[in-house]
Amino acid sequence: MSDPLPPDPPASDPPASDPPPPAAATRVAPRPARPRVAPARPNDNPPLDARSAQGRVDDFREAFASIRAELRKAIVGQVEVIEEILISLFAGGHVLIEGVPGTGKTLIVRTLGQALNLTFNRIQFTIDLMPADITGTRVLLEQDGRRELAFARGPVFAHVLLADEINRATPKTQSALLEAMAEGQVTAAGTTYKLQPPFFVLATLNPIEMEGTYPLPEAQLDRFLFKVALPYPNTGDMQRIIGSTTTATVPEVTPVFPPRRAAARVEELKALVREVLVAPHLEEYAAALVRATIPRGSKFAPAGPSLLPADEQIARYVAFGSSPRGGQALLLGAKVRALLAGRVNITYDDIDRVAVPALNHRLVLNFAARADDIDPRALIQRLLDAARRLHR
Amino acid sequence: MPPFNVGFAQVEDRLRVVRRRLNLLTLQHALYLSGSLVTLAIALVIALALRGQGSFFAIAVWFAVASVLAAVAAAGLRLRQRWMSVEQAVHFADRCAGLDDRLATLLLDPLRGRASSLKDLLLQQVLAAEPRWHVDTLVPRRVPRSLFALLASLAALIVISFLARPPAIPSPIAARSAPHPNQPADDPAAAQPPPNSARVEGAGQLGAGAGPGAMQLAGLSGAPDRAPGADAGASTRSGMVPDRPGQAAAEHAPGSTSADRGRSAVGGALPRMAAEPPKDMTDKLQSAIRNAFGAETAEDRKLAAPAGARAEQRTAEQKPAPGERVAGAGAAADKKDGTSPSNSSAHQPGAGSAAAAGERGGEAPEQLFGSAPEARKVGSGGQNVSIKLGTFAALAPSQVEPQRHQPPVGEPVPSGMPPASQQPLADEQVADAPLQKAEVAPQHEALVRRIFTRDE
Repeated sequence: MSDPLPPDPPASDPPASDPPPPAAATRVAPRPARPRVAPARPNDNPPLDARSAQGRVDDFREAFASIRAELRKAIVGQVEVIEEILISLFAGGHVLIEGVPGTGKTLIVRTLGQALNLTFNRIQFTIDLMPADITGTRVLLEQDGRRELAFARGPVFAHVLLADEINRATPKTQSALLEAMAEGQVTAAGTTYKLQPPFFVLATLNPIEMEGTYPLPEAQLDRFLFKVALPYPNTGDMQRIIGSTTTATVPEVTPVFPPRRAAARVEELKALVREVLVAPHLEEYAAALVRATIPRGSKFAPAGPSLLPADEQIARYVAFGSSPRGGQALLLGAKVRALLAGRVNITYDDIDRVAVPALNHRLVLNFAARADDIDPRALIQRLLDAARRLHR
Repeated sequence: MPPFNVGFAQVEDRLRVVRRRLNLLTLQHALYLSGSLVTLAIALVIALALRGQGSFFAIAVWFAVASVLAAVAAAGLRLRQRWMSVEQAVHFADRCAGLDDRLATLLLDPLRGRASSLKDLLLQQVLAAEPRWHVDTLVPRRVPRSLFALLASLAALIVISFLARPPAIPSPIAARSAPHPNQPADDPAAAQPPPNSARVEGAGQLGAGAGPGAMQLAGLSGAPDRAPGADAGASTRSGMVPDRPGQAAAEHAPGSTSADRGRSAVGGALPRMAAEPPKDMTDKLQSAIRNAFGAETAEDRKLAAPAGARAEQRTAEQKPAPGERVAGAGAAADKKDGTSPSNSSAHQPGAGSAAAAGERGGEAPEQLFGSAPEARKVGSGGQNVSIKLGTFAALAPSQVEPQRHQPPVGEPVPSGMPPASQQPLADEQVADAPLQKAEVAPQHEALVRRIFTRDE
């Protein structure tokens, strides 16, 4: 029973007293102090009374709805994909978008950067792309008659990064994103550079033209909070797409956040998500779901009984199940959904709604699954059906 | 430790009430259902005890015992399964009120001190939804439906008890309280209620087993139309009945046969059961149930058969020769019971004996001693004796006393009567006039001696 979302509020004008925008990156090594926005830790927030808390929740819902409305100006259809991308953004994760070419993957990411009023970079992954092309490299600069090596930041130093067709790069290049995605920092030539939060990676996968591609290693797949599938638009959406993109009128995306406070606003909303309360039995449920993805008899299977019964198809088609990051993704995504529903606590339904995008890319299927053309989403859906019968 | 919050305490207190009500309902439900099953088992046992055979009754008893044990076990299991913990009560309230796990999130957090600025908002949302999870809304006060099952089973028990109950037998107290048609209305013993049922039953037994002694008393008392048994019963009611039933018969009627008959014909099965325990527990239970409902027990039938046989044998042995003096009241009762078709036990072997009549313990005097004409017939025999005696006591100044005859001091005491010296008279009592020695003609002297000599 979710409360209806409020109507989309108009975009607010940026206040005049906004602080200057943060720099693209902060170097951990000794360097001149630069203003940076420290990520707010949830437990550091002073306790608010109910009215203030309700105001924050309402603010979150309004911001979310505004961003979604701006995206829908440019993107026709794909409502679920837009919502899951935004959920992943506010949950502090990254999104892997899988879709055929021409379905608007790049447009979604670019529009999102514009709506958030955050810095946006795009990397087209090719087979000859090198890690330094992503993270940056040291270059010899001459300044005041002196030559010195300076670090030239790569495109990873941005708030929103589009890694287009990420599976076309070599695993070495792909792994260049690992540290950035997991730790929010980049190490180049022995120096670690902090990425300015929020750091949000949207990678796209092309499911066709698999020749000459390198499937992402499981470790990197695990870094993505969600993996969403971008299907072909239906006939009505297709008609609207071709109609709207072939005219002289280009949809104008209005930034939701003021340019100098955009990153801080996003971090503030992300901090609110972390404060959403979770009941113990729902934590147990999320853990049971993750545990159920691990096939029975696997040598990495945890000991002890599972709350959910072992699924036959999981045991048959899955080589490796989800990691604990899958459980984190479940809870974080459920928290965002709870806030969107006006609640400050999650429910079973919140977890179920995010289970497929949060877990489907974490299941490593075996050869039998590929031979039988098994979709991991169907396996997760089976688990959810069994869990619903058992837990409710 | 989180700061004390009034709203939080209010939520906890209300959920405590919800949990208490739910558990109380569960307890009531379990008790009512198990009680229904137990009641039905009891009804089955009673029905089979009253109407069924012994083997069926034994099976039914064990079935009932198993059912009761199963009911108790099921009630325990149900209680254990449905007994709500705090956590379950919270989930119940969440689910019923549609609170989307708000209560569980608020109350069941093991780390209640987990910092979150949204906790107050959650509490406010919970309190705002208060009408949805009000105690009377979640668990309204109601009577569990299982109570109707219990009531229905109790009704079934009552109906079965009445339907399976044998035909009503008048209670001894009622029988005694009803005046006997042959009993004088001014009999003070009849107006007094019996001291207890054992005495009443023993009184009937006394009358049945007293034998010739009672006959002689009747003749001496000069009340020929009174039933001997009734007279004996009156004497027992006046304080002469010993505590142990049958003891009076043994005392008043010397001889092992009369004593055995009195012992075997004790009215009331429970004292007899104490003396002679049944073979097994189910028989004992069945006898107890049948006694409680006034039905004839199996022991009664078993005991009645040899007693009746002995009585008939004794009747045949003591059948008076022509011209000989008649037997006692017990024989008269035997004669009546053996011929009266109205007596239900008359069709059973030996049921017509005085022993069988007395062991009923609660039968009406007319059933014990026959109808009025037959009682007169019995009395006529005594009258013959009294006439004979009257010829010799014609010179006595006082012939008949309404009270019990007290032999004068110094006179030979009839058998079975305590000596008069042992019973001092009260102030308001007047001593009987001493009998004057009659002048017996020499031709009648032999006859008189023979009459006053009991051994002959």
